[in-house]
Amino acid sequence: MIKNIGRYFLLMGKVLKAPGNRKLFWKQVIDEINQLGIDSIPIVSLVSIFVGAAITIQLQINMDSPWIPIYAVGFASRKAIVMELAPTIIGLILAGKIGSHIASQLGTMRVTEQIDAIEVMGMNSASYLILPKIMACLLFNPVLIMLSIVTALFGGWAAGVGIAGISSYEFIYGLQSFPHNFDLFYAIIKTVVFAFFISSISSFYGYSVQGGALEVGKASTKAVVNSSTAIILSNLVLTQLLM
Amino acid sequence: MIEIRHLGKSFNGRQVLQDINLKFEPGRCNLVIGQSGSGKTVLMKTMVGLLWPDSGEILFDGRDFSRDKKQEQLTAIRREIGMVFQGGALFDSLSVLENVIFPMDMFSSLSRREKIKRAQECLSRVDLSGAGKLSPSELSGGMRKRVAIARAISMQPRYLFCDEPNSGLDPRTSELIDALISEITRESGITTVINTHDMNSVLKIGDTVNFIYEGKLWWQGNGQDILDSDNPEILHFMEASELTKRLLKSHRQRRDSALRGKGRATGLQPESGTDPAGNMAGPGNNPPEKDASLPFHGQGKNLQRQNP
Repeated sequence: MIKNIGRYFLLMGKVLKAPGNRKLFWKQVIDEINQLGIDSIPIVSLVSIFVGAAITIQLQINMDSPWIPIYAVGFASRKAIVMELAPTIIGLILAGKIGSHIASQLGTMRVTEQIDAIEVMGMNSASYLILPKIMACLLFNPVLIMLSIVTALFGGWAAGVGIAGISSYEFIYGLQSFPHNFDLFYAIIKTVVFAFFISSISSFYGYSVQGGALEVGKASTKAVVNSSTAIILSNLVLTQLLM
Repeated sequence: MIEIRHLGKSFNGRQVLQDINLKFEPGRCNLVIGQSGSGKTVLMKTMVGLLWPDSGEILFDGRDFSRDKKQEQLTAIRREIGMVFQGGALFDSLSVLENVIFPMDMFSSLSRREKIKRAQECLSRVDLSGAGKLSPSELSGGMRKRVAIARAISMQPRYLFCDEPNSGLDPRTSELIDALISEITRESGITTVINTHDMNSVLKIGDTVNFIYEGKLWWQGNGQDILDSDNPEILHFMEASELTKRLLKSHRQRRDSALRGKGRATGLQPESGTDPAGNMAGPGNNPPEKDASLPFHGQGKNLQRQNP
């Protein structure tokens, strides 16, 4: 465990170096955004809509009291979605999707000697392969989280109005009540930290594969498990620090 | 020229390479042969800087290639290296043409048009002119190896390393790959090092053959000397293949007959236009000539007596 943490930091030392060819680097970042980010839009939207809907129904059932105004369901939905559901739950979903993609891609490149081929050419393979992935996640995961917030709120509204019997006016009034801009800022900070963990930890496990196809599968599993663990632990730390 | 001096490498206390001393001359196909696990891939990986030696030196035309040198010096040498990996190591996400352009994209200031032109020339050199738009997954094993050769020569390297270029290929395709590597080596005068355990390659293109056994340099000679070698480890290595075993038997009978002065009557002489292995003469099929500059002739040079 400690050895792996040391190796992770050594790898990050190699990765976080200025790219040699900036034009090519940004082209790679755009390719990675396409592969890691754009391709994640359907799953993020789907999960967000249904979890947003479920949260609203749960809140409506649990807050069914004459002492609590109905619009509080909209307000509480917004708080839950912006502060935890979108950054953390979607972060975990992305750890599964993006993490396994990165680890298996780099792992396959390692076992088929493609990484060795890059090294032999005199390039910093770690920086060439990993830095664009980290940059793509840092840039695009906040966009995915914004999308997740919007779709989850929409899902909550649809479930509130269609299933829980809340009027559209009251739900939207609740969403707009007690605005607190820091909530969004907090969500973005968490997203950026999670994006770094997902991309760097998965890259570490993929890049460090030794052996064959079986080890690529194991690396992919380790990447998802360890990225998810890092997200959960850092969520606690960030919540304590920022709130 | 690449010179290796007293090279040693171990993994977890197990000595994989011991006191290797070698010289690889330019314009020649320098072969490193040996059984699987003998240390030849470790030797090649150490030479190209994928592994670092525990002891010894590697000199590329007198320039020291070791970990403690400045990164710029190492990178400068690496950019003169072309390598053909065992499986080709083509980038799956790129087309064949883009694979060949890749090193130029990284290190060349050529315009896009010039890079494409040069890449097409390299593909044409390996007889794959029409394959530029294909993806690596659409290629056969032999085609992948040829694309890997095209990529390796795209930056006009001074040193070419080929790790088992014939593994997994049929004999006909292996012959084409051997001929191609041999032609490129002679035409460009580059220093070529080839890891192989294919005895056809040894006999056809082995200008210099280095036999590695249990991490030690065991024998040196050329593709023809090896048939006359009395080294037991070499014989054991060659006789693992039934074809080579028969070739050796035939060769020895012919040699013994010749020694007894009865050679021409045995019917074991190769037909006109064939080499001792019975292969047709042709481009890339010429058996290597003996080189007077080598310190060994006839049976090669047994080194295990010097390095017990």
